[in-house]
Amino acid sequence: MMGFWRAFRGELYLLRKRRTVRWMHIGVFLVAALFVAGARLKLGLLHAAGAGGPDQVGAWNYWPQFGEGTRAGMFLVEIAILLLLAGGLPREIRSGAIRDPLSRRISRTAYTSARCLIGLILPLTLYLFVLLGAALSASIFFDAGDIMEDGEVLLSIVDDQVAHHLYRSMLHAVPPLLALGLFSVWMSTAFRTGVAAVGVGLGVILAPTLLQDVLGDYAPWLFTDLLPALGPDSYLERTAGFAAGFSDAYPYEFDEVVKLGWLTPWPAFFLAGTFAILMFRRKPV
Amino acid sequence: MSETPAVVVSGLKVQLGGKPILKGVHMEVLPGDLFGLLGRNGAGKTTAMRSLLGYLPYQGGTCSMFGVSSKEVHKIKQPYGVALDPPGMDDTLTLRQNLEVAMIRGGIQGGRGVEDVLDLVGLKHRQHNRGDRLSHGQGRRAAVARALLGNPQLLVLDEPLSGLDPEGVERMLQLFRELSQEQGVTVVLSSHHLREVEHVCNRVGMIEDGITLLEGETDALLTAAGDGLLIRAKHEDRVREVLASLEGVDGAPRSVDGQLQVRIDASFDTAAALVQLVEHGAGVEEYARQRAGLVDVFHQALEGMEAVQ
Repeated sequence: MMGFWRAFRGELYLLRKRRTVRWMHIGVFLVAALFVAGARLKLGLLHAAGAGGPDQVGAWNYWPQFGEGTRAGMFLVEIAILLLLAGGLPREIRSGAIRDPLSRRISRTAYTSARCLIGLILPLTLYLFVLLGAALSASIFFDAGDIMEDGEVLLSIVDDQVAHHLYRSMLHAVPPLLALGLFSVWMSTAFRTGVAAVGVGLGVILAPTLLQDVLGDYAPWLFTDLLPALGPDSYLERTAGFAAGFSDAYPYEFDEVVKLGWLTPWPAFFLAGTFAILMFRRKPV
Repeated sequence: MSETPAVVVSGLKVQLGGKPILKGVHMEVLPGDLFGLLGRNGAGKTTAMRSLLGYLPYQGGTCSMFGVSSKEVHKIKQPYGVALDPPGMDDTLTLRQNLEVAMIRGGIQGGRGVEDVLDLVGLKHRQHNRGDRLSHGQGRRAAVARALLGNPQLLVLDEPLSGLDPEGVERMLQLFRELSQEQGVTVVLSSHHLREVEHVCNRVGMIEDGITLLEGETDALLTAAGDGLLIRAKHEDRVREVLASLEGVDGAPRSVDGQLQVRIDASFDTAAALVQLVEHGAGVEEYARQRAGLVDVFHQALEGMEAVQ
């Protein structure tokens, strides 16, 4: 157990000190914030050209912009998780950096377990930065009142549970993100090169979109189908649209996919963690 | 001090991709030894070290450190340091950060800290350089610095002298000597620089083509190898004739770098031989009796192996 904690503290140190990790956090924050700021700029230009004003279009509201900004940031987060976690280990093995921890009474199982834990922490910290970026920018540029259209209340934030659905969809994104984190660690132990690990990982991320017809109703069983940005069954995408006032963006049948989505990432989560540990046990370093 | 070996490698066999790399490597290192694992490039030194450290699975024989099998290195209680080639620096971190993360992972509380090891290897001025900004030699020294963190009782160093300038080689050898002789640290280092290590290693093992040619006390091996005679002359054929007629000459002379080298034993009369060479008009320009070095020992061992084959 001591070996695991030492390995974990080492990984945490790397998470704090690595410039790529630091820049990626800044990057996802900026993408989310700038996306919202860009949306405000675009709406302002359209309004100046004679299009709808703040009291006419749902898009002028804080809530849909917060949702859309978050989703925009999550595109980068999902790629970043894969790049940082799947691409890291093969590079470290090639450089020989991995040998030192293994010579410090840290078993391979303890080492991979520590990396798996980082595989859970990193997606959450990146996600947090996206939420902060989107929330901060949306609060600066938009008002958080009810969703208006033509001077009428189209959606009440409280009565129509707009905020509730948005928060729920953001929570819904956590299981597939955690599964993606562990899946990326698994890929890092399975392949010799970072390019192969990231390439295969990217293939799995894009599979639900590319194989939509083949997967059909089984798509939510592939955890990447539910990713908040790149997943075709993104709950966040639906709720952001719903918050913008497009009432048909939240069909009732989607509820079934949402319900399923709370459960389906967990088999992938446990399998990826187990395979990551098992595959690294015999890997030449 | 206990005489239980710190390192034991016996009949080590390793295959990589179905190809036999090690076919029988032996090594026994006692506590406090400064052991040199010597051999040419590609002889199998690095593979042997990686197997010893548990990084490479082996198909035959045994490897252990402090009595613990290399297959269970995480069970070793005694602290040990490792410096392999490549040095294993994380290029995304500075040298100092590399050492700090090693301290954390090692749970190192006492002994040498980051400042101490940077001082010892002379890299304090490079501590804020990233791994990829270090030269090859600095990378080797950085790897040694990391191995020295804490209070290791055993150091396993793969080619620690590779890429170092003469001053760096001298500094490292002096450091290893002090660690071994004054602090009782067991040092196992691999090298193909036989001349440099023969003055510091008290024991050596020589491997060639994945097989241990010989192993033993350095002094004993050098004594057994006998002395050598170096002759530079205008007429090599006359030198060969004279040497063939003399007592105490062991084998035929070898021509190396424009001079003849021949092994001689204790019965060889150096002065009388010189007189004969002059009398026979060999045109002697240089004449020296030298103690055999590890290079000679290595060549003898190679010749012995080839003769057996």
